[in-house]
Amino acid sequence: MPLLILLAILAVIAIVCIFHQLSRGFAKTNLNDQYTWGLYIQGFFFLVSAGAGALMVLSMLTLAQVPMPAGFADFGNALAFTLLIGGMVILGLDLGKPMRIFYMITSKNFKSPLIWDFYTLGLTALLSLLFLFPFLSESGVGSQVWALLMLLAAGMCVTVHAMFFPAHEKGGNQANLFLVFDTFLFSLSGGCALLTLMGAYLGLSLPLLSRCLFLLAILLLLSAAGHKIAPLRSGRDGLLTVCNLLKILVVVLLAVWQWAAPTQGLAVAAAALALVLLFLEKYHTVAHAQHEPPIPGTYGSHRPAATYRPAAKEWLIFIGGFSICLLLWAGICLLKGIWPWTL
Amino acid sequence: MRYGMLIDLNKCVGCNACTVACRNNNGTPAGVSLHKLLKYEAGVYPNAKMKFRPMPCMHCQDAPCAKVCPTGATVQRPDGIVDVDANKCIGCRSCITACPYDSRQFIWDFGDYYEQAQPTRLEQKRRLEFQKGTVVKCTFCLTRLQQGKVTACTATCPSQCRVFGDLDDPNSEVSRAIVDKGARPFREELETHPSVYYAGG
Repeated sequence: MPLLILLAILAVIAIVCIFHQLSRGFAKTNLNDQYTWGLYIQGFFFLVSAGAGALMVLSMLTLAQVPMPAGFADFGNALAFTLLIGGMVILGLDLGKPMRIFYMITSKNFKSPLIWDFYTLGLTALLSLLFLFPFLSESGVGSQVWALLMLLAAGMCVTVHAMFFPAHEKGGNQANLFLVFDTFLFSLSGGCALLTLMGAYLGLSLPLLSRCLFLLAILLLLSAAGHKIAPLRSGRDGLLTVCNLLKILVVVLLAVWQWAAPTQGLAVAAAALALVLLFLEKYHTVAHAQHEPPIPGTYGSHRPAATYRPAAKEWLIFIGGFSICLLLWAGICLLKGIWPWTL
Repeated sequence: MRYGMLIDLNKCVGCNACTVACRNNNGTPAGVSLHKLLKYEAGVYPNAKMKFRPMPCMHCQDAPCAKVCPTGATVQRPDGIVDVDANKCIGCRSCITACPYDSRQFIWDFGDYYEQAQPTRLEQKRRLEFQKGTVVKCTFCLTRLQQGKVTACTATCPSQCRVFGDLDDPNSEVSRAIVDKGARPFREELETHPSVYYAGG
């Protein structure tokens, strides 16, 4: 109950900030001409990546017919659905004219990554919504078809996000395989971490998910090595170093959990760190893409350096948005009659 | 018909008259500039010098901004001009991240040109042509072109470093000047095929 009250307070503050933003525009944010995408986009990518990752993990478990605790898929799906909705709301707030979003349906410009994002995210959320209704049981042909479709939709949704960032390296938006692989792995690990934390909150022990997270974290170390080797210029990237250290810490924690001390606390700590890592990765990717000016430095030597620190309002909306997601999750679970506690 | 421009950097004196003319012609709000002038240093002391590169929109033939626009607000007209329909722009700023020339700007808010002073009547009137929360860019002064005039930056340049005209016509002044001066687009390795060429510099 105290947690719900705290979430409700944060949610109310966020709603006030959202209305302020809608009425006043971007005036009180710290977004600027050089950092046009900030915490809202970072938050959007984080929420969608975690939500879609959880749905991909659930789909794979369903397709592989891995036995899960009763109601686990329902809880997980409801949580992922709320994160997707939260992501959509934050993305809507980041638009200068959110009420014109219907033009995205009529334009049919399928060269635009944002169009693909719009449709794949919409499809993922729709499939997730379908699972909330009782006609899809946790087993059976219907759930297998759902899982296959969800795997494709959520996978596509996450993959599209890799297309937004390397824009300034070459005109337009291009993705590279390395980035797609990285984005995909981060999403899956975020999904595993989210479901592990949810399981721990519900009092369920899910060693399979922790093992999956262990393997994914080992694979993520590959990209850490890549990030270390690939940059040509010298100089330190503090946030990237923190990300790489977190990856190592997650692997170490789960290795200890796997072979030395199989206590749930270690798995939960590793999952929490993996979620922090996912957010930092999104934060870093968006910031890094905009850190360098699009025009080569030689020609912009007299321009001030680009800086961006999210404003208090942006943080309140992001944190409050996450709280709204969790409250919505609790509400859906109550409506479905699967909420395990009395209020 | 494909509008294009040649900018002779050997003639540019970096006076910023083009930027001011652009602001005057388009009535852009404070903080919004459809035309930029990049300043940079070339060489090393004692042979260092300050150089300038005027930067209107490049009106690329393969415009990345048009490709990434999710609503179709950014379009390439048959005459090669890349234009934005402010009424269809949702302000997602994808085009800003996709443009390798930093040619686009988002209207975050309407600022005032002078602190402690109210906007003039003219500023208030011109402000109505812009929408907060949308992206703006250089359109080669479309209204002037429709009146048979050249762009404001071309008309105002005191050193006459700009030539504006039809790139599809091999006998037009701009096409001949591009050939004569061996002009190249800026960052042509990006293969966006800009319509603005630079000579010298």
